[in-house]
Amino acid sequence: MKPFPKPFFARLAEALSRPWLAWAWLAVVLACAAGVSASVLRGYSFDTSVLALLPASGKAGENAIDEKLRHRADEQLAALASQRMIFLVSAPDRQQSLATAQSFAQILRDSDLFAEVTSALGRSQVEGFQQAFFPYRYQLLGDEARASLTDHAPEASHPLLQQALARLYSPMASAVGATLLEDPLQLFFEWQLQAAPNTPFAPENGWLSREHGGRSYRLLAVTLSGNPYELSYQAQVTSLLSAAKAGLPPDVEVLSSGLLLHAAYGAEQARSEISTIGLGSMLGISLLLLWCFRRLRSLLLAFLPIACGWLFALAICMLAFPSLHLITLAFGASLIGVAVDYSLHFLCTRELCTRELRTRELYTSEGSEGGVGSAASTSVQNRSTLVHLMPGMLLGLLSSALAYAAQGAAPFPGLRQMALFSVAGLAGAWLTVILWLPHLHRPGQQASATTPLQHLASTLLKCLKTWPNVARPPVAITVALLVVAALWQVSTLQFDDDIRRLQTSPAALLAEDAAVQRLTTAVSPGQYFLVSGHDEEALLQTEAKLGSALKELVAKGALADFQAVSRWVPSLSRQRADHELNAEFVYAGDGLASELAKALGSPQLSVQMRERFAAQPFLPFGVQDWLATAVGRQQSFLWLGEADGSVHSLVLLSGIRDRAVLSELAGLAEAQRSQFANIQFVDKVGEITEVLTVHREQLVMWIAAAYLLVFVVLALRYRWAAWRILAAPAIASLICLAILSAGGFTITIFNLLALLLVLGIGLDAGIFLQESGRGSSAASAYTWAAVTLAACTTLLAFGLLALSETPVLNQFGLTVLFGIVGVWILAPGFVQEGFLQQGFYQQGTVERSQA
Amino acid sequence: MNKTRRSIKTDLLVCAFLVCASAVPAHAMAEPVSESAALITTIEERVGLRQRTAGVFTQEKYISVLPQALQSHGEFSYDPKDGLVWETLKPIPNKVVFDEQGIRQSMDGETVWEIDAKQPAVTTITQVISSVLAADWQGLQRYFEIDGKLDGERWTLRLEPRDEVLAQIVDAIVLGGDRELSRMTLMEANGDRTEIHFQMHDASQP
Repeated sequence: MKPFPKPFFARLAEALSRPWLAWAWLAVVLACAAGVSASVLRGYSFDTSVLALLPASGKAGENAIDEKLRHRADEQLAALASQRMIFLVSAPDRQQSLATAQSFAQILRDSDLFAEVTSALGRSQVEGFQQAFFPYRYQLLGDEARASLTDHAPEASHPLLQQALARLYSPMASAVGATLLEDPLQLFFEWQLQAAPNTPFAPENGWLSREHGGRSYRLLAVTLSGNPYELSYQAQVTSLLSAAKAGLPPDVEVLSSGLLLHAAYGAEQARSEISTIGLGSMLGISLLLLWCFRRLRSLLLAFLPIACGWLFALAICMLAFPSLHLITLAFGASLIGVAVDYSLHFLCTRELCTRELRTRELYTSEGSEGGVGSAASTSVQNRSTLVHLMPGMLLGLLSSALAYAAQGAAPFPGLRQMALFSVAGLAGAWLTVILWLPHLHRPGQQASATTPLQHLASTLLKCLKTWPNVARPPVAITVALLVVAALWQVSTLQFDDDIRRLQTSPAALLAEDAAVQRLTTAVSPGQYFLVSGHDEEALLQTEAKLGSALKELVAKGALADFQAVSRWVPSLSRQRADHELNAEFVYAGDGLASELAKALGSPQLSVQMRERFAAQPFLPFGVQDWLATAVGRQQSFLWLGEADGSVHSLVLLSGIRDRAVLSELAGLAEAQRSQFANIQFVDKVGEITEVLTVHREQLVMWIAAAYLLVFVVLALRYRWAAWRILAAPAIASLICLAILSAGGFTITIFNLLALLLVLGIGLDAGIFLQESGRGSSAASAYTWAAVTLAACTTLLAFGLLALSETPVLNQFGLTVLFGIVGVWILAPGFVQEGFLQQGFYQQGTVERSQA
Repeated sequence: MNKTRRSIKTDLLVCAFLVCASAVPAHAMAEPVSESAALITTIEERVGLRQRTAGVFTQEKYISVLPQALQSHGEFSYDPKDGLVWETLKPIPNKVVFDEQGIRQSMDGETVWEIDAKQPAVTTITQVISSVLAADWQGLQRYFEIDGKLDGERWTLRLEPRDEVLAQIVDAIVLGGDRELSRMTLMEANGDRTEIHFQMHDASQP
C-alpha cells in the first residue's frame, strides 16, 4: 500500500524546513507586495466588463480573414457604444424639459469629463448637408420614382408629374417650391426622405425633442473623454450625474443610457461584495478558529498563508494579464476557504503531536512514531508535524491545483485568470504553511483542560466510529440508490447558456436603458450584417439588394429601421442609370420638365430647368465622397473599408421585433450572397450564447478529465483505493446538480466551474482522511476536525457567495454550498473501514487517557 | 444620435407643417406671456374655442421664378381624430392628410406619396395639432415669437421663428382675421410666399 518509501516525505520535509528557504520565501512575498503596490499606484486598471470574461470572438470553423473582419466590426461598434452616452430629459411640459435640459447640458459641459456634448443642431450643419448632396441630385432617385419613370411615358398624365403639380398647389408647396428649377419633379426631395433614417425626435428650440405619453423629452448625447471601464473616470462621471440628478425639480427626470453606467454598477457591486462577503467570511472564520484554538497566534498563523497566497496570486496575475477582472478578485477572495485548509491541517496536526508527546511523557513510553525523540524541542516537533503532513499536503496541493488549472483550459480569458489566480494562490498559501509555519509556531502553554478543538476532535471521532461506511451493504445500497435517483434527476437538467445570465446590472438600470432605446429607436449593436465585396461597386450593389429586402421587413413591422451606406451612396451603375433616366424622361426636350412648365403656365421655364441639368454633369459619388459629408462622418462606423483585397461595410438594424425575425434576417444573408459579394448576418447575442454552449459542453469533458488526471496522481500512492477519495466529490457533485435541478434552477457554465472547486475541496478532505487512516485514531480525529473546520470555513467563504446579487457568483456559491456539505457527509463513508478501526484499537490506551 | 440626418427631413417638412398648423383656428396662436398677452386674450375671446373646424380655402403660391401665382382652392377640415384634411379641388384634385400616422397625399383615392410619422417634422405637426386641441396655448409659442396689433374688429398676428433651423426656411407667418381666422401669409426665407384665405363654415354646423 505504500509505493513511496516513507523517507521520501521525511527527506522532503527536512529539506523544506531549512531556514534559508523561509527567508527566500519572505523575499518573494515582499517583492510581490512591492510589485502589487507599485502597479496599483501606477494606475493598474481592473476590468469590470462582463464581456471581458468571454472569448473575443468565436464561431468555430471561421477563416482567419472573417475572424479579423468580425473583430474589426465588433471593435468599431463597441467603440461607438462604449464611448457614448445618451440622456433623455423628461418633464411634464416643454418649458420645464427645455430649462432642465439646458442646465443639465451646462453641468455636463462644465465638468470637462466629456469630449463632446451634443444637444442642438445648428444652421451650418443643415446647410452643409444640403450643399453636400445637391450636386448629385440628378443621379439620385428613389425606388418608386425610378420604377415610375421606366413604367410610364413622359406625357402630361404621368403620375410623377401629376403628383408634383399637386404638391405645388397644396400646403406642401413651401417645402418643394423653392427648388422648382433645380428639382422640378421633387425627385431629389423624395430621395432625401427615403435615405434619412426614421426617428421620432424632431428639433424644437434647437433641441431634438419628442412628445410621448404626455411628457416632453429632450435628447442629449455625449462622447466620453475617458475609458468607460476605468474606475476613477467612472466614479467621476457617476458622481457628476448623481449630483446633477439630485438637483432636478420634482417630476422631472433624466433617463440615461450608456455602457459606462453598467460598467460602473458592475464595478461597484463587485467591490461591495468583495468587502461584505469577503469581510463576512473573514469574520466568521476568525470567530470559528478563535473558538477552536483559543489563541490569537493560531488565528494569525491560519490567516498568514491566505494573505501571502493572495498577494502572490495577485502579483503573478498582474504580471500575466494586462488587466485583471474584478470577478477574478471576487473569486479569489473565496480562495480563503481552500487555502485555510493547509493552515488548519498544520495547526490540528501540530496540536496532535504536542498531545501525543505529552501523553508519552506522562506514560514514559517509548517514542517511535515519526522518529521524534523524547527531548522534543519545538522545532523538532514542528518538523515531525511536517513529516506527518507532507504526503497529504503535497497530494492535496497537486490535486487541487490540477482541478483549478483545468478551468484554465477553457478559452475564456476570465476563466484563465481565475485558474492562474487559484493555482498561484494555493501554491503561495501552501509554501507559506510549509516554509514558515514550522518556524513561527510556538506551543501554547496549554493547561490540562481540554480545548474546544479536543472536544470537537473526540466528538467527531465518536461520530466517525459509527459513521455509515460503504463497506456495509445497507449503506452501499442507500448510496447506490441515491446515485441512481440523482442521475435520474440530473437527466432532466435544464442548461441555460444565455449571455443575459451574465448580466449583472440591476433591473432598474436595464429598464432605463430599454426605455431610452425604445424612445430613441437606436440601432442595436447585437445584430448586424457584415457585407463584403470585390470592390466598392459590387459591395454597394449587394447592399442595395439587401436594403430592398430589409425595406419589406420594415413595412411588415418586423424591423423598425436599418442603416446602410448604400442608402446614401447608390452604386455607380445605378447612379449612371438614374442620371440617364432623368436625361431621357425628365430633361429631354419633350420630357416631364417641359410638361410641368407647361402645366404651370410658364413653358419657358423648361429651358432654365434643362440648363440647370446640363450645367451639372454626371459626377461619380463614391463612399469616400460620402464619408467627407457631415452625414458620412457621423455614420462612418458603417464603413469598414478595405481589407484583404475586398471592401467591407456594416448594415445596422434597429427595433428587431422578436427572435423569429433573426432567422429571417439570417436567411436574407444567405439569399443575397453572390460570387462577387458576401453577406454575413452576425448575431452577437446568439453567438455568445452558442459559444457558452460549446464551452459548457467542453467543460463537462474537462471535469471528467480532471477526475481522471487526479485519479492517476492519487493511484501512484493509493493504487486502486484512489476511488475512495474521488467517490465523495463525484457523488456530492451529482447530488448537488440533482438538487439544483429539482429546485428549478437552470445550469450555467458557472455551476460547472463550481463543481471543479467541489472536486478540489473534496480531494483535500478525502486525502487527509485516507492519510490519517494510516495513523492513529487520534490522528483520524484531528484530521477529521481539520476537515470539518475546513468545510465550515469553505462554507463561510463560498456559502456567503450564494448571497451575492451577481448571478455569476451566486450560482457559484450555491453549487459549492451543496457540494461541500455533500462532500463532508460522504467522505468518511468511503474511507477504508479497516484503516480507522485498526488505528482505533491500536491507540486505544492513548485515546482513553485523553478522555 | 445624428443631428444632421434628422434635420434634413425636418428642414424640408417643417414648411409643410407651418402652413398646415396655421390653418387651425386662431385661438391656437395666443401668447400667454409678454405685453401682447392682452391682445391675444382679446383674440382668444373673439375666436372661441372649438373642437372642430372646417371651411373652404383659396391658396396663392408665389414662386420667384414664376411670373404668376399658383392659385388653388378647395376644402379643409380638422378634428382631433382624423387630423387635418386638405382637399384641393382645383386645378389638380388631390387630398393631403396630416394625422398621427404621418402625411399622406392621395389622388383619385389612391395614396401616391407618404411620409411616416416617424419622420421628425411629421411628429411635430401631430404634436402641434394635439396641443391646439388640448387648448395648450403655448403650442406655437414653442416655435415662434408672437406679436400683433388690433385695428377695430380686425386683428393681425406676426409669428417669427425662434429656432434657427426654422428661420432658415421661414421669415415670418402673418395671421389675420376678425371673428374668425381669415387669412394667412407665409413668408419664406428665399422670398417666396404663400397666401391662404379661409372661410370658415358656421361653428354650429356639425
